[in-house]
Amino acid sequence: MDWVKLTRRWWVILLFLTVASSLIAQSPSIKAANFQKSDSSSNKVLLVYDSKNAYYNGEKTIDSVQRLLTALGMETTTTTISKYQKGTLEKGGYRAVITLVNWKSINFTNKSFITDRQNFQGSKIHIGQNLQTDEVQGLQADIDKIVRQQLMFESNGILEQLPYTDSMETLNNIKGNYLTFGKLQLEGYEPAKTMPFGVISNNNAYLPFWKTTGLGLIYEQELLTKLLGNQHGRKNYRPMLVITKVTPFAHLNYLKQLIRMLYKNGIHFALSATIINQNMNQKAFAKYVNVLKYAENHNGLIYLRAPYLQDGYLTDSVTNKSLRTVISKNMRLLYRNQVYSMGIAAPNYWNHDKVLTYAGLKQANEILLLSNPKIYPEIAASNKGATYRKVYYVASVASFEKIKATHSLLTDENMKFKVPTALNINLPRTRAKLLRIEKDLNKMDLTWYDFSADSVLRKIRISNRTLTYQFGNYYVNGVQRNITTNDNNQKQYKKQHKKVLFVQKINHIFKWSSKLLLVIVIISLIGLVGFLIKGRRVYLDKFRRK
Amino acid sequence: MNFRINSKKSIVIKNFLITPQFLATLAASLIVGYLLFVPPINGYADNGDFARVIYVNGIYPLTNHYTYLKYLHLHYGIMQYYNEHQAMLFSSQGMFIKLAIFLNQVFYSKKIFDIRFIGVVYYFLYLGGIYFLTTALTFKTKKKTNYVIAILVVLIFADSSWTLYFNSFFAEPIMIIAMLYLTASIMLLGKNCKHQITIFTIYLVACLILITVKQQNAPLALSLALLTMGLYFVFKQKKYKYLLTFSIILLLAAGAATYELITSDFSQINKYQTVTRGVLLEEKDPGNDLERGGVSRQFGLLKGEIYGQTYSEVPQMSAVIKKDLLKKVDFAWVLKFYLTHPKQFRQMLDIAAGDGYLIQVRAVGDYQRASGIRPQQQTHYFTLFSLIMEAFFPKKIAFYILLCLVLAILYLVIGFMGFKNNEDESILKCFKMLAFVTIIMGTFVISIVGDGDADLAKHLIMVPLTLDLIFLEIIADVLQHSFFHPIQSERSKSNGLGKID
Repeated sequence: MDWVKLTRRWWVILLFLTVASSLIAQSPSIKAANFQKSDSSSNKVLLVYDSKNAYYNGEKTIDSVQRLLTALGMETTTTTISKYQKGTLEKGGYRAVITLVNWKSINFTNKSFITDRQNFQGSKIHIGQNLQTDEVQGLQADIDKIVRQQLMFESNGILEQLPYTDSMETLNNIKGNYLTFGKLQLEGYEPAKTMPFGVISNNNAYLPFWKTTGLGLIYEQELLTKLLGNQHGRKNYRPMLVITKVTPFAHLNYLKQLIRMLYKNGIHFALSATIINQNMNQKAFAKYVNVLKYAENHNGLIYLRAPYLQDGYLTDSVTNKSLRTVISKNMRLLYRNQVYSMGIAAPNYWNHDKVLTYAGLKQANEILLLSNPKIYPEIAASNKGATYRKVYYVASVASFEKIKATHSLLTDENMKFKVPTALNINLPRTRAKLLRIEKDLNKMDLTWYDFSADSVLRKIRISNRTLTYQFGNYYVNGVQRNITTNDNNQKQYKKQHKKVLFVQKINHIFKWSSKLLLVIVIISLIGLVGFLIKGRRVYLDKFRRK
Repeated sequence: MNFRINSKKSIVIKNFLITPQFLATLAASLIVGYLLFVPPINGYADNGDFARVIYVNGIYPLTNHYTYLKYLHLHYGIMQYYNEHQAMLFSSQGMFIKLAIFLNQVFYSKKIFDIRFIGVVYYFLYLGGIYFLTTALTFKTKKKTNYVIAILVVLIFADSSWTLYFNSFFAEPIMIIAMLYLTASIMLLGKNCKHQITIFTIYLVACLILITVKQQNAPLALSLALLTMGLYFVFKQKKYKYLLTFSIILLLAAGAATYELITSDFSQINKYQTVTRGVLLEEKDPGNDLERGGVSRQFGLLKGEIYGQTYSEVPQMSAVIKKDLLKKVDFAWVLKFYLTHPKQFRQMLDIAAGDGYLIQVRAVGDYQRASGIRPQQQTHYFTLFSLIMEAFFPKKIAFYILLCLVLAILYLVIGFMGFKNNEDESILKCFKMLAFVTIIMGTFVISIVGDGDADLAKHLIMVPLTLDLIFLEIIADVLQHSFFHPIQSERSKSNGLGKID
C-alpha cells in the first residue's frame, strides 16, 4: 500500500516538473541550450577597467560593455584595476575576465590583478590599448603598432569611417587557430591594406577599441557571443524598434501619426512609456492612455519606462518600499486601463544598484536596457549587475545615422545582431523631426523584429494576475483579452473617506474664527464710520452759533 | 574732581543700563543666544535651497550622508582651491557669508566651516536692529509704558521662528534684519532726530540689501521708492532733495537689476512650480484653459507636482518641459491667467493667506541629528507670539485686503491731518503705511505668481514681518498718545536738517 502511495507521489512530482518546465520554456531549442549552460558553466564575468576617463566619455564604453554582457545573460561584476583585490578572480568562479583600458596614456597597474589574470583559466578579453605581456602571450601573437592612420570598417564593400587614430596596437603573427571579427581597412593604401578588428585566439580575445554603434557593435556582439558561447549561439536577432521618450506630456498627435505610419508599413514596434499616477480624472490622462491602447492595437508592445529619479537632491530618498510601490502602482494603473506592459525599460545604472534592481527591474522578466544619462543618482550602487530572462541592448537609430559610411548601415545584410538588440528613436517634439524620422524609417532596408510572429511567451505578474503575450494576443490568467478601442472616458476615482483628526477639527474651528472675525471687523467698521459722521457733526455743532 | 567725573560716568552708565532699548537688547541677546549657541544647537535644516548659496561662496556639504529637510548640519567644508561654481542668482547675502567665513577662518578653522559663525554675524546685527528699533519706538519719551514697548519688542522679535533662520544659509535673516533697521531709521527720520544723514544712510543701505538679497524682493523696490518719497517732507533743502531723487532711482535700478540677474536655471524652477503648484493647482481639469493659453493640455497632468520630487514621469528639466511649457509661460502669461481666472486667483490667495502668519518653517528640522531627536523635529522654545498669531490670525485673503484698506485709509487721514498741521512725521507715517501695505499685498501676489503655493512660509515672510512692525508702531503710538499727532509737532516746523534733541 505504502509503496503504491510512494510511486504515485513520484508520478505527481514528475508530472508537475514536466508541466512546469513546458510552461517555462519559450522555444525547445533555446531551452535545452539554457539548461545545459546553466548546469555546466558559470555566467559570471569580471569587468576590470582602468578609469572612467570622463573627459573623453569613457563611461559610455563601460556602460555599453556592461549592457552587452547583461543582454548576453552574463552576471557582470565591475571593478577598477586599482581596487582589484588579490584572489578575486580565483574565488569568484568567473567564466571570463575583461580588461578594459579607457585611458591609454596612463598605465594603471595592479600586480595582484596581473598575476591573477595570468593564472586565470577562463576566457580573457582585452578591450583597448596597453596590452600586457601576459595577455600577448595568451593570445599567442606579436604586437604591432600603427601610428596616425585613418581607419575604416569594411563589410561587403561598405566602408564605415572611424575617428582618426593616433596610435593603435594590432596583433601580428597569430599562432595556431584563431578567429577574427570585422575588418579594419587603412585609408590611402593601394591595394587596400586590411587587418582584423576583433581576434579570438586560444580562449583569449582582443578588441583594439570599443564602439557603441555601427559595424563595431555587430563585431563586438559576435566576438563576445562566440567566446562566452551561451544560449544565443549562432542565432541572429532582428532588431526591435523602440520609440522612447513617450510620456504623458509628449506630442500625442505626432505619436499617433508615427504609429499609423509604422502600422501601414507593417513594422512592429515597442513603446517605452511612462505613466502618471495622479490627476487621472483629467481628459489629458484619458487621451494619453488611449494613444497607448491605439499603439497596442497597431503592432505596438508597451514597456513601462522606469520613473525618472531626480538627480541632485532628492526630497525623499528612493527606498525599496517606495520604489516597489511606485512601479507596481504604475503597472496596475496601466493594466486597469488595458495597457499591458510586458517589461520595463530603464537605464543601465538601474541594473547596478541594489535598490533599483530588486525593487524595480526585478518586477519584470524582460528589460530594455537603455544607456546611462550623463548624471544619475546613486541609491545603493552595486558593482554587480543582475540577470533577467531577456534583456535587450538598446542603441539609438540616430547614432547609426550619424556614422559616415559609403552606404546606409541599417540594412539586413549588415545588421546581424548576435545579442537581443533594440534600436530606439526618440518621439519627436516637432513636425519637421517627425517627417524626417518617417522618411528615414521608410528608407531603411531593415527587417524589424516582429514579436507577434514569435512563439516566445512573454510573461509578467501584476498583483495577483499573470499577464502573458504570445502571437499578438494578450492573456490575463490564461484568458484572452481584447483591447477595446472605444475611448476611455474620464473616470471618476472615488475619493477615499479620510478620518478627521483632532488637530483638523481644531483647525476647522480656527477657520470659522477667521470668518467670524471678518464679520466682526466689518460690523465695527460700519459702526466706526457711523460714529465718525456723528462725531464730526457734534464737533461742528460746537462752533455753530446758535 | 576725579570722583565727581567717575560718579557722573557711573550715573550715565546706570541710566543707560535701565533704558528700555538696552533691556530689550539684553533680554533678546539671552533668549536668542541660548537658542543659537547653547547645545542642543537649533537652526533650520537644508531644504535644498542652501546649494544656491553655499557653493558660490566656497562652502560645500562635508559628508556623503548629508541629509535634506531632516536635520541641521553644523559643519561644512570650505573650498581650498579654485571654485568653479557660478552664482545661480545675484544676492547681497554673499557679503554676510563671506564675513562669516572670514571670522570662521580667523577663530576656528580654515577648512571646516561652523554654521554658528553665520549665526554670530546675524546675531549681532539683529541685536543692533532690536536696539535701534526700540530706540525709535521710544524716542524722546520717558514714560513707563516704554518698558511695555520693550517687552513687546522682545516678545515679537526674539521669537524663535525668526531667529532659527540665523543658523542656516537661507536669505531670510538678512530680510528680517534689514527690515528692522529700515523701519527704525524711517521712524527716527520722522521724529527729527540727530545725525539724520547717518540714519538716512543706514536706511538706504538696509533698503538696498533688502531688495538685492533675493530675486523675489525685486518688486519691493517700488514700495521702498514710495517710502523714500515720503522723506521729501523731512529733507526740505534742495541738495537733499537731489540726494533723495538719486536714492529713489538707485532703489528702482537695484530692483530691476535683481530681477534681471536671476539666472535661467533658477527662474525655470520657479516657473515650473508657478504652473504646477499655482496655475493648475485649484482647477479640476485645467486642460481647456491651458489650450486656450497656447499650451498643450497634457501639461495639466503636472498639477500638484513639486520640483525635485523623487519619482517623476518626465525629467523635470527635459526639452519637452523647457520648450513646450516653460518657454511659453512667463510672468505676463501667469498674471493674465490669474486675471482671467479670478476664482483660481482668489483660491490661491486664500491658500497663501492661510499661511500668512506661518513663520516657522515646518518642512525642515530645527535640530542636529542626535539620539532622541526625530527627523524634522521642531523646537517650541520661545515661540509663544508666533504660535498665537499663527493660530488666531484670520486666514482669509479678504481679511488681509480689508486690514490693508483700513490701515491705508486711516493713515491717509493721519497724513492729511499732518499735511494741514505741518506735521512731517504724520506725512511720513502715511507714506510708510502705504509702502508697508503694498509690501503685504505685493508679497501675496508675487508669491503666488512667482512660485505657486511652494514654500509659502518662507516666501511670505515679509507679510508677518511687516505686520508685526505695523502693530508694534501702532501700539507704541497709542501708548505714547501720538497716534494722530506726533509728540513734538512744533519741532517738525524746522527746515531741512533741524537738529533738535
